[in-house]
Amino acid sequence: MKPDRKTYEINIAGLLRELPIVQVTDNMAIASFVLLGDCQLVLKAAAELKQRLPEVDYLITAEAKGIPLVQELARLFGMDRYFVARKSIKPYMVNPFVTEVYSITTQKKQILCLDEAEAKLIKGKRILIVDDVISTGESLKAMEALVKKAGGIVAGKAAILAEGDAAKREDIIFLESFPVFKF
Amino acid sequence: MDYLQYVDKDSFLHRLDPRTKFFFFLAMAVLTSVIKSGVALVFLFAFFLAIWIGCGIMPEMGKLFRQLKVLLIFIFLLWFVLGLFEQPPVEGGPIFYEGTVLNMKLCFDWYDFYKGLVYALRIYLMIASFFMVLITTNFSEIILGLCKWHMPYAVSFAVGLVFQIIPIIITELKAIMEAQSSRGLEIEECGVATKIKNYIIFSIPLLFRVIGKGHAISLAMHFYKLNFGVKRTSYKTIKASAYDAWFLLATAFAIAGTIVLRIFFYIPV
Amino acid sequence: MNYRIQHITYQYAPEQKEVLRDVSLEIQKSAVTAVVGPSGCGKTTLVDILSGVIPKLESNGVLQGELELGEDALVSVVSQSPENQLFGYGVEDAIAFGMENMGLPAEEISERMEYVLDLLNLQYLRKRSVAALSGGQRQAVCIASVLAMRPDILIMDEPVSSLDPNGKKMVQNVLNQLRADGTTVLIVDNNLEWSADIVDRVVGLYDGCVLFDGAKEEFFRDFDLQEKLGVTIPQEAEIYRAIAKLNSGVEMFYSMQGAIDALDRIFTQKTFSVEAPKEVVGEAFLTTHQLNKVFADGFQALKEINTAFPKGKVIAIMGQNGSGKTTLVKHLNGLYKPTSGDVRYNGQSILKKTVAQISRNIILVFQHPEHMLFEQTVTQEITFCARMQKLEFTEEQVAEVLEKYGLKDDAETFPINLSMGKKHLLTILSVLFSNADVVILDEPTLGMDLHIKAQLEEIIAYLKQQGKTVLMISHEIPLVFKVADGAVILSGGKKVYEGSKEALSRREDIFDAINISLPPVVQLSKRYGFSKICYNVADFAQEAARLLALREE
Repeated sequence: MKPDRKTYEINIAGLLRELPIVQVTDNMAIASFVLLGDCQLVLKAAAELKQRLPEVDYLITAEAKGIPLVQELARLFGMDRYFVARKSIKPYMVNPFVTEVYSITTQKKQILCLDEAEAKLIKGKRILIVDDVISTGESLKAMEALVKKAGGIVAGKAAILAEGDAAKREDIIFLESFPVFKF
Repeated sequence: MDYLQYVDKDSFLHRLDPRTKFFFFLAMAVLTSVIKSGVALVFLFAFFLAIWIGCGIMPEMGKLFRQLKVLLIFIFLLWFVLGLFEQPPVEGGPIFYEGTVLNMKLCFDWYDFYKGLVYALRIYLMIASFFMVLITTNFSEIILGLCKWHMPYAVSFAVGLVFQIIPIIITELKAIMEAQSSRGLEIEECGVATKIKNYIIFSIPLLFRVIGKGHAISLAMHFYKLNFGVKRTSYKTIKASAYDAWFLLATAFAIAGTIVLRIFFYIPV
Repeated sequence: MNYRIQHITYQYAPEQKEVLRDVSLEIQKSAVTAVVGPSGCGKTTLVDILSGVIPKLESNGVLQGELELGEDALVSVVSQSPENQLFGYGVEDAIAFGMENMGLPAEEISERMEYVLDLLNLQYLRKRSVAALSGGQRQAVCIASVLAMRPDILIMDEPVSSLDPNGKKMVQNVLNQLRADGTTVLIVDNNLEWSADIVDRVVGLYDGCVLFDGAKEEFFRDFDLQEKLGVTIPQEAEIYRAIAKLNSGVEMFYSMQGAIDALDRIFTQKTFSVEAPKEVVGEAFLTTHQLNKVFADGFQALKEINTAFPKGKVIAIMGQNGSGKTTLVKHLNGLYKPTSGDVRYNGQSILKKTVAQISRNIILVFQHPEHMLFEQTVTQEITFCARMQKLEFTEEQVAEVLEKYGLKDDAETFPINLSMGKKHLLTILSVLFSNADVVILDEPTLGMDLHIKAQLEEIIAYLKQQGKTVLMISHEIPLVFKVADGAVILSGGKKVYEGSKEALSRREDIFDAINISLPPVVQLSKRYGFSKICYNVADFAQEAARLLALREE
């Protein structure tokens, strides 16, 4: 199917957004969703997502696009802190806790890491992994590995959108799904 | 609710003279009430199938079969159970159980299945032949055809009107059910008693709607100067064509084939 | 010689009140006459007498007076609902029916058939089945079938009341053809909005008596009379009424072209450049997500519909017939289940709930009140929703509502016996006793006269004030713009617009695409560069007055 339009309309928690359709390979296009900067959307999506989430101790996301969502969700749950896994080891980190991911799409090795102090807090706690979009599920897998390595229990995986085949997964909580356009 | 009515297509059956189709239905009605031979009925069924496929009305006939399923199973079971009390009239063939239960002599054998199937098939073929006419002949053609058979116009018109009104009533009932459930009347998740009560509730507005429609139709008949006492003319005429001859010929062969098979393969039922 | 009606008095039974009292009038030959008046004024009875239904089919009444229509005059009627009037499966069958009854020879039938099909530009429909026609096409075929009988007088009873804008245009074209052809036409309709340009003369009936019989120009000048009769007039005529108060020199108009010609002399044309106020995003609590509906026959009625209906707003759903409006709202209250996609109320999917369960939150009032009414009295009917939902209500509340909306005297009446407009009002009023916070009205103005329409506006305003969301499907574009805050526009099953009325009234492109005209007040306030877009005549008059005062300074 060749996309006959330049945008894809989606209704996220009552907010209508036109996602631009971007060609990524010769025979595939995706609708691109940018949460950063959309104040209304973060608030509405977090409020609606909250209703569907299980009870957990902490929330975690990977930088960068999931950060506003995890901040708002933590606020709604009344949690004092949340965690952001970084994509490179930062100077402030003492004994950083690192997992390596090999991404098929980018053909590159990627790392996710947490500070030792953060890892200690996670240990033995119920952790919910949050992201803006789940598509191939690779970064989600890396997050799971990181949480497990730190001794946390993955209590759920949530995102605003599920793209393509991710929408068929039953282990993730999401508000809306949208297709990958193949032609 | 889904029901069968005229299907607007341009098939071989649609192009036939309505009288040919009436004749076809009458011939099949007689044939299926007389013939009780399984082999002959299967042959007739094959003839029907050939027509359905040839005319592209398979989807509609499939729908009919789905709607008749329960009735056909019921007929089958009825004759099947009755058959249990009889011995097979012909020798040979497997017998699964024979004996006395509660002072009744039972014989569970191949013939019970045969009898059930024959009766179900007969009813099915009879109804199917009626629907073949109904879904390929619109009511204007029905009126025209009946008139050509020298039926009084008032009678033909009444028959045509019935076919015009039935879909209206069904649409009305559907609209009433939708409207009432939209106002809070539970019609989906409720017991049988409530369901029956609901239908009584629906019947009141339906009655008024139908009376209203009837009134409107009688007014319209007046506006169009419909007077059964006056001789009408007719804009369209129906004429039999070569198609009709071919169709009648095929039907005649099928009838002959059925009768021949009946003579050679008859097991009294 | 014209057709004359002399001193007609009629009672449905002896001793009963006269429905018509000493009615005398002339029907001009080869002219289009509109018969107007509120419901119950005797319009329908007059039609029945002219067409011979009285005394032929209804012979219990007492008829006095004289009809001077000439020997064997043929009076034919096109009724309000052509689906009850067309006999025959195909268009040709239906058109031939009347001629066959007259016993015309086949050659003449086919000659006349060609004539009416050509005259009304309906050749393209001749091989179609009646059931497959759109409302406007059906009405046109109905007119053709009656016309083929060569009636001396052709009567049309509210021919466009259930048609969409395209259907209305089709009937207007047909009527223009008939007028040019010299057919004598009588339009019985209390709505002159669509026929103002076509009609030559107007007859006003009130309580069984003739109040007015004259040229239409004269009728449009008599504002008090229009109001008394409750006639719906074109918004242009209302504008004229308001402008005439400001500037007595303005030439009379009742159509868009007339308005432009007259007002161009008073105001100067300007490009309208006032931006729409920023849209405030309300709390969307009824949403559809990628809704698709494919019916059993393969027809895709809805394509990827995303909508977000905000709380406490009035949202109009617009589009031509067949664009998917009714299909969409039937998904909102669960009557239809989508082929794919979701409908959510407060973020929760409603797909697994029954219609009755959903009706506690979302209630749908149908187009035809007869489908909904089934209680013994008006009082019972009005409390139906409340009783179904087991809600408390007091007798005083019921009495108050009945009183307020003029149904007090009908409290114990059998609902079916009410006038069409009142029936509709009743089904809408019953919603007041439910606690649903979304109210969906499908073509609520059907059969309503001006007076009841005003009450409808009040009800909508009241519901909005209660914080409820009102979704309204309507073809009455001026009314829609008056009461709605926003709109969703559908075309061919796709959403082509969703947003505020302010932004919408700046989008001529959308209205061109769906072949619907913006209301005259909107068009004219843009044309003359008012400081804002006006949505009702009162606002328009105020703006116009301001502009005139400014100029005088």
